[in-house]
Amino acid sequence: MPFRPKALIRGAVVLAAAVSLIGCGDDSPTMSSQTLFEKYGGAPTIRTVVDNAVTALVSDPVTAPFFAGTLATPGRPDRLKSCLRLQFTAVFGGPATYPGRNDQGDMCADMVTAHRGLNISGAVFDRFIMDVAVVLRSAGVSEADVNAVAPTLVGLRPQIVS
Amino acid sequence: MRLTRRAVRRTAVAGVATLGVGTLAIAALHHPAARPLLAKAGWACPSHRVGAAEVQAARDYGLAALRGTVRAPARPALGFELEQSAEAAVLRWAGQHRLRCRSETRGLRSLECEDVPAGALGVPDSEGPVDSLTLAFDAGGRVVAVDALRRKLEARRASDSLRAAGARLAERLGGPTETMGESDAGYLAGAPFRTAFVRYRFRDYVATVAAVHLPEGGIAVREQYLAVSTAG
Repeated sequence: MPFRPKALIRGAVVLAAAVSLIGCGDDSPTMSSQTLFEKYGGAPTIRTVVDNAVTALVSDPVTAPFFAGTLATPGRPDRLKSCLRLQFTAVFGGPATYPGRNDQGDMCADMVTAHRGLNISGAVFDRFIMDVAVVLRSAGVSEADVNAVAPTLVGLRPQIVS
Repeated sequence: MRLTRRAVRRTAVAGVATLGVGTLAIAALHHPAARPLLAKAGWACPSHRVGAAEVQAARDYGLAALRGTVRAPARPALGFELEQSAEAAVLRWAGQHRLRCRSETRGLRSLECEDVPAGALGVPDSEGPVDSLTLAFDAGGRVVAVDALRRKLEARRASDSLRAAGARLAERLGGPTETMGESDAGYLAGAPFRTAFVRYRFRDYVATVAAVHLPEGGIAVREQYLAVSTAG
């Protein structure tokens, strides 16, 4: 997959815009200074969301092959989840930036590098977004707040789909 | 000195040209039509290199957390019999309905068909065609997962599709294990990322029907039927 600086910049702009909008949910009494990370209880909720997202993705034969190599390597499942926790913490406006160092001290790759050569199609990406929407709602994230964070994830499409 | 500069320039031009041609060649080889050549050369995409055992282990890891505790009274899967329907029979079915399908091996073998008429899946034609139907097979060539995705639906059609699939499951299985959101068209159309779903979790079967309002793609409705192996 070619390096696409424009896609990266676009992703960063979307991320910045989404993060700046966090807390604007119309069905919640969230104070403007409170992030979604704080609103939903911080790290334990992020852990649940990531665990459930990975469960959904690897149960599905369509998306499982993209994770199977990682899960088969000792230590890698924990690293995968740790990097996803870092990313979701950042998306929820918590104390993290992505890419960056995860809670195990490892450096997490940027989205382009992490998905290089995987040939992920648009249909597979749509399934991923649907899985995440279901996982977030199941974890108790309100509609308005899903609406606030999901565009950030959808904005990753150019970096993931090839 | 001038000769040296010329030589340097020639070398640089040749280098850039080689790099350009090489990049184009690599890009061409990554085109879907050329991927089999890459695979034959031993340079398959990472997700194609993964083995069946690895994918099955990944699925077992996920399904262990997703499954329920009691056996399903039935395992509906759009007319296919989970862990029974053989790949050869599925290919015959696809041929009989003149479907446009593509077989793929990403650890497990799968068959992806586009624009599948609802009638071919044993449901009323009024539900509309399935844009992307994926059937995954276990190492023994039996169907272990059926995944039907309808994309870019208008709210009314998405609502009808969600309700029809949910009703079919309820008729065979009773009430769902988990449900979220509303199935009416007004709700789904109301805002991007509106999500409605029903899920059934059994020890040997998991079924999920979900509708999500995707911001650039209308509403997508997905039916997913998974066999959970109880062996071992």
